[in-house]
Amino acid sequence: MCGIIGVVALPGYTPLPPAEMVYRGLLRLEYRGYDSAGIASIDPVSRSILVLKGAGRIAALERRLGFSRAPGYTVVGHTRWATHGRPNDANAHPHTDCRGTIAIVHNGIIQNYLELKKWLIDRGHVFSSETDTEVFAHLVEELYKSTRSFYEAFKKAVEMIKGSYALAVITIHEPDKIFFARKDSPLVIGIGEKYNLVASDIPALLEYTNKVIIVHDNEVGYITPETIHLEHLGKGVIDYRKRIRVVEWSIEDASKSGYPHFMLKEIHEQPRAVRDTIYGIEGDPMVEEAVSLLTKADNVFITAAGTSFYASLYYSLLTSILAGKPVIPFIASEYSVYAGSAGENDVLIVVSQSGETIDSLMALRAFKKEGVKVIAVSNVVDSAIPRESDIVLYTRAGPEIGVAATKTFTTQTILLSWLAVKHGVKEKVLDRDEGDVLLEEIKKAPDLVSKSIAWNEEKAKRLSRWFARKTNAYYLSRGIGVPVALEGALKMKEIAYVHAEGYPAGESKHGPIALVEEDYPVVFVVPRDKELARLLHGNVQEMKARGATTIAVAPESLQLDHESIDYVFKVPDGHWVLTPATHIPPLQLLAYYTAVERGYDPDRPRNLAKTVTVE
Amino acid sequence: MKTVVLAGGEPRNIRVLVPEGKSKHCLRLLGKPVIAYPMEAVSSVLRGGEVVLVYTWDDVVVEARNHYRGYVRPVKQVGGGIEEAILSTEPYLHDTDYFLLVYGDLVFDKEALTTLLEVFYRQEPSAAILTIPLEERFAPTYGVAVVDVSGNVERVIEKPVAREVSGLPAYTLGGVYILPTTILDMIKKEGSFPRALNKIASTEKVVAVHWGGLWIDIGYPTDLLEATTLLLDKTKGLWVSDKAVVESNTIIKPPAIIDDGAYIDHNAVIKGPVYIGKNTFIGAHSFVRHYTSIEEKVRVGAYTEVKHSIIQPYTVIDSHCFIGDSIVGENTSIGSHVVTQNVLPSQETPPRLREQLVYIVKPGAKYKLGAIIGYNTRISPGKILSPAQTIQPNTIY
Repeated sequence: MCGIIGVVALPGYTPLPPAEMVYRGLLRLEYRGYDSAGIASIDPVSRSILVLKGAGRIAALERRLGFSRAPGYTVVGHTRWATHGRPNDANAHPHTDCRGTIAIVHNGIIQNYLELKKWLIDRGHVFSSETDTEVFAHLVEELYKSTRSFYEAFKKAVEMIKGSYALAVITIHEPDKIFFARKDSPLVIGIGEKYNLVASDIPALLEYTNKVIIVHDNEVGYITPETIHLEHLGKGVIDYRKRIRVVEWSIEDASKSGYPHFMLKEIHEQPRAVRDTIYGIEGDPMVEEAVSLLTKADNVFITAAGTSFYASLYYSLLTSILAGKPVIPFIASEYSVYAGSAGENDVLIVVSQSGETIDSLMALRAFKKEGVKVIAVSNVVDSAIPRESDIVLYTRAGPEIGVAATKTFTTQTILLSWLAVKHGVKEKVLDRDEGDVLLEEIKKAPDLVSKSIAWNEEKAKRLSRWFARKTNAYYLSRGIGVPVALEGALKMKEIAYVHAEGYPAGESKHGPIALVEEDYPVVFVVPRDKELARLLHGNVQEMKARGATTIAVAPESLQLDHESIDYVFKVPDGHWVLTPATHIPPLQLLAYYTAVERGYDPDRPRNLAKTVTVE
Repeated sequence: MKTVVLAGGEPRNIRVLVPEGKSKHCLRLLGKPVIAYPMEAVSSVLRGGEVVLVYTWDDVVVEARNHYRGYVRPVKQVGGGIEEAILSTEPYLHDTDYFLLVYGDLVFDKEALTTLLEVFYRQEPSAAILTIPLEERFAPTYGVAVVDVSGNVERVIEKPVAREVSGLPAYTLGGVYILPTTILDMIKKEGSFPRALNKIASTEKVVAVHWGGLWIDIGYPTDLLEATTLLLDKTKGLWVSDKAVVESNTIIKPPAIIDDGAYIDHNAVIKGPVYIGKNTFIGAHSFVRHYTSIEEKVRVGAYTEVKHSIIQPYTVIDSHCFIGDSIVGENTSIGSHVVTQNVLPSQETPPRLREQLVYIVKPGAKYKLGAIIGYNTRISPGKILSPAQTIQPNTIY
């Protein structure tokens, strides 16, 4: 989810120096998620392009490089979320051609970049990064040699690339222009008084103008301080004046692409995130490698922190069932207890959304010292943990901004269940047909998650009015549902600040039940399994007998005893393997709405950080 | 962008509260007509553009203008359906590619509109529909949108066939749309608004814009109770107009709003959240409890208790009554010692009655609903009204 902003202005007409406008625009684009950022500006004195870029937070880069103090009246900026090549200084945008006469920022993916790169290298171009984007700079450079007009070269280059893109290009050949093109990635033009802008979205521009033109797919053009040229590739020049829109909302209102909080947005993104994760894992050759490592291993350990640990716990249960192999799950910060017992024939799986979690990283290093092979499961390409691992499997949830993990948990469990099934087949515990049937079931997950959200949001919102007045809660389950109960309780704890504890239900009789009194909330996660449901039913009765208010998350086909259950979240019938994906959305929504009802910001729970980098 | 607000048509399921020749959009909620809520939202988000208002009765035009900062162009609705209503705006939509369509009988936050616009501008789909989380048991009373994995609308299902939604990822159609003007031709061709939407959704991108905040469709009398509850929940603190008179020994527990010209007699107890409207009279020793909205010029007699109810304007409630969980139409007279019973037998399920939202709603709590009393009605003294009893308008009971 990269972000672009560019300004072209006449000297003295902008409310702030153009580079500062770009810097502030970048801050507004931060919400899209990024790992590096940069700007390029045409220095009016030396007529050369100045590029400032690097990996890290925008505010830190500003201190290091001084984005906002760059000279010039034609400036583009970019926030990058890595897809091709690791997030480092070299791979950050803007990218330039060989001679530094063209600078480009790009959002999207150029699919045919490898063949273009080869073709360009044959023609003597020298590349300085691993990105797909840099290809475009060299391509324009190459084409400009044979066409007299830069714009024609730019258009030709756009026609040659395949994939998705929003592009902004500046060049010293025509220093008062920003060239742009769009296909499948958002791009907006902002119209000012003697200055014009381009950006990935409207909030980045709103500070400077409320007159915008939305660029459509397959449209290209350029902006100068006083004019706009817009044309459709193939259909010719467009009268842009008909396309001007006045944005009637103020910048404070412009929020998280249409959601009051990132957390709600990310809960609703889960179906798509799960679908993308399945797409990714299906064609990933790394899965086979990981499976053969796991099959050869004497012991398999799995470690993580927070929500990722509950996904790991689920994996360890699943692998016991499907592959007949015990997996030792442990909390990453406790690694020193376990590291000594591991050896060269063992495997460690490290699960980390950010790939930077310090506890997990320390665990990884301690195990590597013992010669253990490491498989990483992460959401961020080429982050620290994947870099130090032997095999990496990526979830494709996209950037997660809300501090409480939502879509990353669902995608982790889906990826890990895929791995467990493949492992089970390899261990011959499952035969090939059984394995295929299970994989087909996993592929149904996006649809199931989407139903689970749609059916329960209103119910969660309603229950939250009552839950918001509670101070304690239990989340109970059995078997495969236990990690879900733990995760549900963690959500309630971390964002709504209601003290909630997850337990295996059978364990509740060994202590916790002492706390249960009149109106005490007890949430039961009931997996789609007759035997577990029967056992859980006994636990429900126990709690009910002590006056608890019982809430169940249960599959639709399960016959529940409505006498003893006060409130039911019905989830769609999926295979029991998918319990986390089907059962967690109501609990996420309940925590979210309870937090909102209590007046807290679910995106920024107190005392917590998205990525924990301190031991 | 042009805005079209639909405020015509028949008050079908809420007929008992809407006098002949008046619009349901002029029912009162916390001192404002229902139409004020969408108009104010549009007003604050779209600063003063022209609004085309489709109406049946004149009263709604006056109210809409009172609550809008820009120009309101009234267009009389010919025919009863939503299709006719939309098509009647055609002459005013020639100069625009897209228009914002808002149903006038909705109470929602302006943020819902901001959200919709923002997603529309950001993604530039062919159309955008506000979608609301759906409570399955009420599905038959709403139109619904079936949403696909990427958050786009797959198709819409119009009520009352919405029974088929069970088992689908469905959301309520929020009655707020951004539509291409080409839909007018499609409506003519397809003959219905939902079919025209489906036509677009089948070939182009129609985004579902999700809204989980305040949103109530005023379609049934019970919706007025829900709206009263949710709106009063948002009130904070205590506001007493300087034009109101509150006599001594009255106890007021905030949150409460006491509007211009209200008179509250000695020893009354007002237990918020409560709205007491303009020029009302609250008798001595009366007890006005939480989630009550007492609209303009209503008289509440001495020793009367009112709780979780909405009393439309110009109604008189005599002394020693108990009015609980009830909806009372305008210009009605309730004799003394009238009691509304309000605990609903569990087999009764009035449409869109939600759990009673009191301070603490316990899951599985009893449903409560008092009486639904029509306009211009007289209830004789001493009557006991059973739960969910509807008294038809213009009657003497």
